[in-house]
Amino acid sequence: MGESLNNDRTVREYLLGRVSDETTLEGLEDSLFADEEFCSQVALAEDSIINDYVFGRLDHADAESFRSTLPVNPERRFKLQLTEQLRAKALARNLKTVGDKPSFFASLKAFFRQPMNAVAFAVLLIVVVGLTIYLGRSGNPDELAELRSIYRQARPTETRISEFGYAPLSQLRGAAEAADKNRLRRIENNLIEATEKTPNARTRHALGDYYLTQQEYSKAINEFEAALKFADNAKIHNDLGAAHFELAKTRPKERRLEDLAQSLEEFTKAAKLDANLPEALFNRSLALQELGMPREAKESWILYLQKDPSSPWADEARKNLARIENATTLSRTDEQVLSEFLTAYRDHDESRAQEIHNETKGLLKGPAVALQLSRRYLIAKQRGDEAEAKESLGAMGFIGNLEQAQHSEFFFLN
Amino acid sequence: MPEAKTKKELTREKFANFLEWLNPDPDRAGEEYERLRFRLCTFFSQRRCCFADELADETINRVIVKSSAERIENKIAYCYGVAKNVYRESLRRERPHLDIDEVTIAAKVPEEPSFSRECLDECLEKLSSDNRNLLLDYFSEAKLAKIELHKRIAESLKMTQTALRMRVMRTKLQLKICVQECMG
Repeated sequence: MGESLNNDRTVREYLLGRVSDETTLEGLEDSLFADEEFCSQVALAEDSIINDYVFGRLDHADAESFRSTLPVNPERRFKLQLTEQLRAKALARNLKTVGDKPSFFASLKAFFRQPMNAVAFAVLLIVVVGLTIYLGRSGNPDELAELRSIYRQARPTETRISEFGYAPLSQLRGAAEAADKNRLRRIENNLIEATEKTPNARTRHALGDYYLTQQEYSKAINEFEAALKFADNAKIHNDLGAAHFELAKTRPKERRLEDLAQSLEEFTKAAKLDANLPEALFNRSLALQELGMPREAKESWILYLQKDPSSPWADEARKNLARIENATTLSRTDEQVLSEFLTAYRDHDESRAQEIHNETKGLLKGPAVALQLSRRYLIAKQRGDEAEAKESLGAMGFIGNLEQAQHSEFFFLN
Repeated sequence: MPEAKTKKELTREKFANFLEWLNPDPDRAGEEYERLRFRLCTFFSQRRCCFADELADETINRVIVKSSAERIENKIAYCYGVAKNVYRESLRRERPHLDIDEVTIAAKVPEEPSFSRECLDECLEKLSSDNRNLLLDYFSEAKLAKIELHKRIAESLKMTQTALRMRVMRTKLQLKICVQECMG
């Protein structure tokens, strides 16, 4: 094969579906089947593209081309899923390492045992105090305080934004009162002005927080990334992660995981920089939960509750923990759920049978016991297996009576 | 050759013979099979075929039947020839799919099974601890730190970065096969 086809760039173009010239295409295919070395080169190039995509290292055009190859390439879709899950696993492992670190106070004690460290700390303290006073003058504490006060009753994001107090999650996203709208407009203007006058970590971070509360996630991400260029700060990483997390909810399924993985990465960095930042610990548990990693999420919530056992955030953490524990039913196959239900039904273990039914009835698909029983009844009838049909009908009657007795619900009796 | 007939002629024994035909060493035969499937899936998907994996399977099925009946010298070149035929036939079959009336009554494409994290955990456990740690280390860093991290891993394992990428790719392939088998 000619040198012109046999280079990394052409291979990459081919794999991104951007080679349409028939002669080039045939030349590449001939080599793919005839040349072992070239075949390895193609395999390696494909793997690199997938890794780069997962790491967010493809530029916009390449990422688009890559995505457009996925619908016709199930093998590649599977490899992508595998790589994304590996990435999530690797990040989750990092978090565990953070959680295993010695406590903040133990580290502090060890630090001050060294006289040189104590002197260096004193100098640093003076510099920090000076800088805080200086930046405070050009910063925007008033705007942020006002922004926080607007969301005192209902918070705008599921994740915790750093330094925002507890409020239940708003059910009416984006529907601000008219008076609040005016205040929000003023806050935005002031924050933009402060950013233009004094572009620094604090002003960019504050403006990012503003956009985050307004569900303008891409703008928020830009501001947080700009802020991080000034200072590598745990709170900024946390809020950047929050923006990615919220953005993920607005994405189509195939891009959702990408943003969630990015959010987990940012929460990980925040937790690495400050292992006691409650916002980061809370948010990373949420991210792990959303990424469908129940075991890691559970560990993370337990770790969070060790650090914050009593705030209203802790109540939410407990609810999430309970949700993960309940969801174990849903991680079983439909057949396993039905089989467990039937065992309980046959043993007259009503409370267990009821428990399994309650865990699945809201789904109205897949594992829902009532649906599975009706399917089992029809199949048994078709096969002429009267015993199985009778048992299925009996079990459906059991569920119907249960619903009628408990909730005056007649749906399951139909 | 009609597809139904090809499938009917396939037996477990013929498939085992086919693997042996690819390579008498069973371990190497598995690798050769995966490599052939990669070639075929790449060929069909880069030609924008709607069902690349099914066409790859169809090609392999035809080769299995043929290889059990007659002696074939250049195996991969032969597979390539069959793949081209399958591709041409698929073009003829795919044309009616463009008819909007056909599309509306076409059966819904079955949903892909969702990725099993349990299988991933199980298969990661089956890897050697070196390979498991290598994969988790490789995918652990933030995007900006990634290049530096990969350089460090390559140095610590005394290998070039290309060799590291190859090893990561091979380990991922091993993992992929295991997860696919586990998911059934």
